[in-house]
Amino acid sequence: MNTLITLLAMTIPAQGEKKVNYQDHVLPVLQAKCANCHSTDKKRGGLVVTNYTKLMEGGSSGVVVKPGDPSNSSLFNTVAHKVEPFMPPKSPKIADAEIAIIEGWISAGAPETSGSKVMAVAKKEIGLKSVVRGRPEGPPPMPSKPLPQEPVTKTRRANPVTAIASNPWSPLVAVGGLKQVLLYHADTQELLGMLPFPEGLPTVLKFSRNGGLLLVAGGRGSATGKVALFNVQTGERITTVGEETDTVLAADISPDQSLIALGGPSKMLRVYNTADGKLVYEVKKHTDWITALEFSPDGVLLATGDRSSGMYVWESFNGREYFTLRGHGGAITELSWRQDSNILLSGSEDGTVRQWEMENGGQVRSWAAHGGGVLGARYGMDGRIVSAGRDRTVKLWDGNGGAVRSFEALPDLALRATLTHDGTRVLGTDWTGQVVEWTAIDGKRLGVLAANPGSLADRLALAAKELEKKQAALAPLLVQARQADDVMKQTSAAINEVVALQKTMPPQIELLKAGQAKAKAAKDALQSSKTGLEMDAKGREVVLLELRGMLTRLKDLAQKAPADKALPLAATRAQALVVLIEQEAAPVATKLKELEPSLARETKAQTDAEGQLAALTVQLAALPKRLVDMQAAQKTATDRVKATQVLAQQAQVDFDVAKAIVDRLKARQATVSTQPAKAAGS
Amino acid sequence: MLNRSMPAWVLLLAIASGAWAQTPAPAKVTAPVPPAVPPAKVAVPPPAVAVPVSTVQRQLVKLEILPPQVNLATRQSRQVVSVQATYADGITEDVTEKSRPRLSNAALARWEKNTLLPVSDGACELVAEFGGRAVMVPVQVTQAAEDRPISFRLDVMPIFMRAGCNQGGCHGAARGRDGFRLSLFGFDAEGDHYRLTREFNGRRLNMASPADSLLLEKSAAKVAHTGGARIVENDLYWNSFVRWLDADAPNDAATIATCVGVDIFPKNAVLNGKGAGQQMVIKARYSDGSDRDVTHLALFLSSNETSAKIAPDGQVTAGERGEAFVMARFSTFTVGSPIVVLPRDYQFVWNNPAETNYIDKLVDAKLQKLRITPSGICSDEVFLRRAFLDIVGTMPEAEDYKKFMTSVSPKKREELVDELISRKEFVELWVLKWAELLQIRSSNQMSYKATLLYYNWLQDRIARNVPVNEWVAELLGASGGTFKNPPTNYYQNETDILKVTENVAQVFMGMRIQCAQCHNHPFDRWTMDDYYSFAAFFSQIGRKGADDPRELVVFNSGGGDVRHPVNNKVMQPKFLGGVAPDTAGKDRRQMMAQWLASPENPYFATNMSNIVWAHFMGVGIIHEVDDVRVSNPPSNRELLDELGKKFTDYKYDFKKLVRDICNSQTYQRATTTNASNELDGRNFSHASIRRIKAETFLDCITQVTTTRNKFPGLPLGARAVQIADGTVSNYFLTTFGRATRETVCACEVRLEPTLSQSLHLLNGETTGNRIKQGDLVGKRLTEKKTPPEILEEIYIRCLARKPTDLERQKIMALVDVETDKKKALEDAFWAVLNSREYMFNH
Repeated sequence: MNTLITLLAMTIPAQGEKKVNYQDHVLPVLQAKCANCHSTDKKRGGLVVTNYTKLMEGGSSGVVVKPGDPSNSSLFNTVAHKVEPFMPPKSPKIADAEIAIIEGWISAGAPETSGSKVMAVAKKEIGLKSVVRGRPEGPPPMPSKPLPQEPVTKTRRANPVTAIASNPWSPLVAVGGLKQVLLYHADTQELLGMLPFPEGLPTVLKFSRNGGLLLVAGGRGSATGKVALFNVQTGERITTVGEETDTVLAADISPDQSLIALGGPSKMLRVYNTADGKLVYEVKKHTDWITALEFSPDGVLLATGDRSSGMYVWESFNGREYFTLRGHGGAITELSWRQDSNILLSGSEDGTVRQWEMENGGQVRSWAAHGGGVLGARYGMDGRIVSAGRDRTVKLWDGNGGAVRSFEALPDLALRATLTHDGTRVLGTDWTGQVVEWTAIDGKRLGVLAANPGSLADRLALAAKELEKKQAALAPLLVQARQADDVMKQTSAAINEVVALQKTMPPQIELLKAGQAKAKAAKDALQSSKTGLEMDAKGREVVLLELRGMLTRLKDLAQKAPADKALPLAATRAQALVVLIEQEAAPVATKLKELEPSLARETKAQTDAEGQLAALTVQLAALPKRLVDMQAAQKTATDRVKATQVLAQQAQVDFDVAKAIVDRLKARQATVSTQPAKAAGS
Repeated sequence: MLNRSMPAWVLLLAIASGAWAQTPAPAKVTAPVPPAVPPAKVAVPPPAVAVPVSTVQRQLVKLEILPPQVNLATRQSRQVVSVQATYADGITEDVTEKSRPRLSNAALARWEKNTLLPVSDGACELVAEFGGRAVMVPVQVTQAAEDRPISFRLDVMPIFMRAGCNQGGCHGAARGRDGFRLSLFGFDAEGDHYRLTREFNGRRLNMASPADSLLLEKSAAKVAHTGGARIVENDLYWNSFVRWLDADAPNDAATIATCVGVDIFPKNAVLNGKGAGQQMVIKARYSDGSDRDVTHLALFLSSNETSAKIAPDGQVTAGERGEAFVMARFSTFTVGSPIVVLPRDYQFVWNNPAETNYIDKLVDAKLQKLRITPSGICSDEVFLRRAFLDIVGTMPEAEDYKKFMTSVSPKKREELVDELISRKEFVELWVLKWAELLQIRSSNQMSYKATLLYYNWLQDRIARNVPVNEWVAELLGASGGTFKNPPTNYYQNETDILKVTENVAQVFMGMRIQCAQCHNHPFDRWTMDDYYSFAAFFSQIGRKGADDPRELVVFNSGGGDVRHPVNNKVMQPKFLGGVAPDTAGKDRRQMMAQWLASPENPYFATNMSNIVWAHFMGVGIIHEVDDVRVSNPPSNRELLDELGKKFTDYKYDFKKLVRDICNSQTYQRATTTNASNELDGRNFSHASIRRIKAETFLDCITQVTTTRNKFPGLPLGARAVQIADGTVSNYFLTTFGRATRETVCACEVRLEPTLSQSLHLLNGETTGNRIKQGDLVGKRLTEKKTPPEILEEIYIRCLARKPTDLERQKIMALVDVETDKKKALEDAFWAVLNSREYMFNH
């Protein structure tokens, strides 16, 4: 037996290259198998095994570890099923290897650490001296060093997203995934990188008040609970605190970054010092699981809430009770302080969101926010509020609880919501694992952040595909825009023509009018001479007729009265007169004849001019309408040009964004491939 | 104690160790006196049938494959197969291995131990051979390559019951356990789905990585779990959980099939000796017509772990000799099979006792199966006293004794039973019984007048021998004023709808359905739906005042409903275990009353018969009589069914039933036990020793001491059984456990002996004072009777027998030395009254 023990004692440390000790070897075993009953929370049988000092003190039935003598140590005997009660109860014996560890450890004298003395906890530099309250100096806190790009886990689907936080001073959004935290850029929905959280599922994410640190809390249900702090700029893990035996359900870091508070199914509020990870105080007051907690922005108070509607406010630095806040009728799901630290906001499964003042701890306002229960309620930096609930919606409220907007319903329960640093965007998460981003101003959906992203290569392939798609979309749009432009140009030319016509036509008309007048005058003159001639001819004919009649009558008379000599004379004179007149008439007729063609010419000229004039006038009258029509057409064409240009520009932007993403991813790939891969779970 | 002379104590000892005390006595007796009466009158008849039970000679009579048909549909199906052999002597054996069952087409399914798993579609036969016999059952394999869609209700919920997650001590508690609650025995699947998937988001299920879900890690104790390991990683249950999570933890459509029945195989087993085994097979039938092997999902229980232990996989292992009822619970059903365990190759000779009627036949059949030799028939003296106490609740008078003992009629016992049944005391005894069950007692709500009218109504019905079904229907369907129509008092007594429902079920059907008010009954078939549907019959009882402020008018209000507390649905009236009648426009209570007291109600006749049986035998075939449930099976189902059938055939005339019982050999057995039946308490192999009920006991003391009682509201000399009002009592009656009639429970009448009872009889008013008041001894001395004669009369009056020679000799020795003969004889009288033989009915 002794040789066996020696053998074991020799073999076991070899694994860890350390002497078998409590901290490195035994505690993990006890934590996993015994802590449900023998933790500082339950102390079944007065025994605590998760703390070296307490374990060595033993339980109510005495010492359980006798250094160097496993067969007389009931810790060993009960787990090895050598002595009743067999431990753990109602479960099969723990693995032989684990029993061997315990045995070996006791045989070796039960040292606490490999150095067999209290391990000095290294002080962590978390910038306590240089903590700036409020807006930090310098550029907005964003990751500046390359972050890990490969997801720690890639699973069949995403878990319900219960952890999300947006940086108070930069467009940085942290989303909880399985064993990792995903950092996104709120403006581009671009995945910046991952922070590994091998402890399990992050249940809480909180940025420090100055945005420089990210707190990640969570763990493995019924096994371990931890809170980790990461530097936002470098992505490095600064410290890890907590020794919970179940996952952490609520945690926060104080604004001066000196304290970390946490709570969970143990119902205990525990506050740790960030500098050395030591417990500062713990409060046993909650009667159910602690589900929400937050430090006030001024750092003075700490609010906590539990699963059965219990709510307290404590003095941050010593854990003294400050207020008990009574009112909610269901589990408290989230607590959030207004920036001035005067108002505390609480969301509860009772369906209401409430505001509490810190003068007397009274309820200021309460409103029914989500039927079935509120699952998340947070202040933005601007004092507006976002909430999420079992009615599947995310809602935006003003500081007084006035409804501003209800965003499109999500596919399943809406779990959490947050406003980005500048209050322009709202993010909401749901049970199916979706994280949706909207604009705050009009509720437009901006995109979806994957809570379960693929590997860098996958993402790059996806982005490249996206880029291709964008390019495919862009090309026809550009053609369209060009065509539209051509149409518009044509229209413009036509309009110019008309405008020119409008200018050239009136003088033409004037000219025509003058021509016409001239022709008319000529015609008139001809006409009048013609008329004169005709009248002359007519007069002659009348005289001639008279004369001929007279002549006839004279002849008659002469016949009858041959005697009368005067008569023939008169007849002769008359005859002569007739001849004379007839002689005179001949040139007039000629003249008349000569006159006819020119008259006809002038008449035609006038008619032609008139016709031309009429046509031109009509044309001129029609021009304004034509112009209006053409101007309308021109507007349409212009609009179309604009529209197609906008589309094309958008597509161009999309394309550029996609291209940028691809480029960045390629760049990342290049960096990653040149850099030796960092251990993901370090 | 001090008012007794010392010899009286000696007398007491002399009697205490007398004839009757040879049965296992409640306390050690110091003076061992040899039995005065021969231990048993039975001359054991020569063995008629010697059952050969040695392994070699056992003859196979039946070979059976269980289940009788194998249907494997989809990849997830499975079927546990068991082969049972039955031998001529009733012994059964699980011969699954020995019979090497195999498929006629081996390509269709494969074996995993005793379980068949599908391989490819088709039909063939499953053949088993054993002991020269072959047997086969059809096997059908369909969709062998297809997955059955995972269902929360059909696949996941059963695990919670099987693994014990949702039992009352764990997550099934009203407030859950360690922050997580499941509905007790899964009565609320919808709620359980919500609590698992969406009550505490991100904790219980890991949708991204199902195997890391807290649900699984806790169940398999991979992380700390107060309940320890309930399942094992990668076992059937684990895989079902994972499959459900892989499908995104879906809830079921409203059309999902529901379990409509569960069958258990084999239906019974007689195991040969410690260590013998029997695999149980459980099949569930569903509303869509399909069936499934749920042996791996059922929860197994045994009523007697010492005799038959059942493992979680359904394997029964025989232990000590005895009887057990092994049960399987699945969905809302509990089914069971009786298992008898006999010593290995037990040599047994059945003595073929005489049988009077069907009762003896059925009781003997069971005894034969259990290899128990019944006790012999009791003596005439014992029978006389027993019959008087049981049938009329009095002691036989000296004349009765003389008449009976001197009768030479071969049928004198039968004649005595007939005579006693026709006495008015018989009626009074049963009126008392029913008054207890109907809770006839005055209270703030119920006036004394109403109480009296109610009692008189009941007495009238029983005195006129109105068939039980008729007056029960009249009672439950009654409407009108509580003065004008007294049975309406039933609804004045209890006004709460749910209480009335529970009382009716408990009294008239023998069922305690209270559990189902808040969750499905854990050990019976009753669901919350059944409970509230039955309660709906009592939802329309109208009540209003009458002219007399003490009177209440009960009427059918025609309106009012009962809602299901989980889903708030209005429940339509449905008979408990029966159909849902059309009650529109009818008096729901009358419909219920008609059904309840009719042959359609499978529970009424058997329950009434059981109540009667328990009265005469001291223990019901189902015990307690008002605790009928699947998991509390009758000790002799055939007998109970036959009694119920006869009762129905007799048109519910229970006098006939009483006659059958009292004339049976079973009733007339001696209390003396033999080696094979001394431990039997449920199979009526011997008569049981019973304490006499408070009222009857007081009447008997009054009778033998020739004194008279005065009870409020009754004339001087009235008997305690005649007290109408449950609230009327006195110190004696209360001490001896008179029912307060505050509840309908059969346990109201307390029959356990207590110290205060003994002390009261020893020192109290009842014995000493009454002996003086009645002055029987004084009167007899005046009549010049000799002390031995007087002693004999005392013995006959109290014990229905003459003193034995030894008793006479010992007592007379003490009386003779005493000068005051009266005092000495009264001491002897006192001693007799304090003897256990007097105090018990045997």
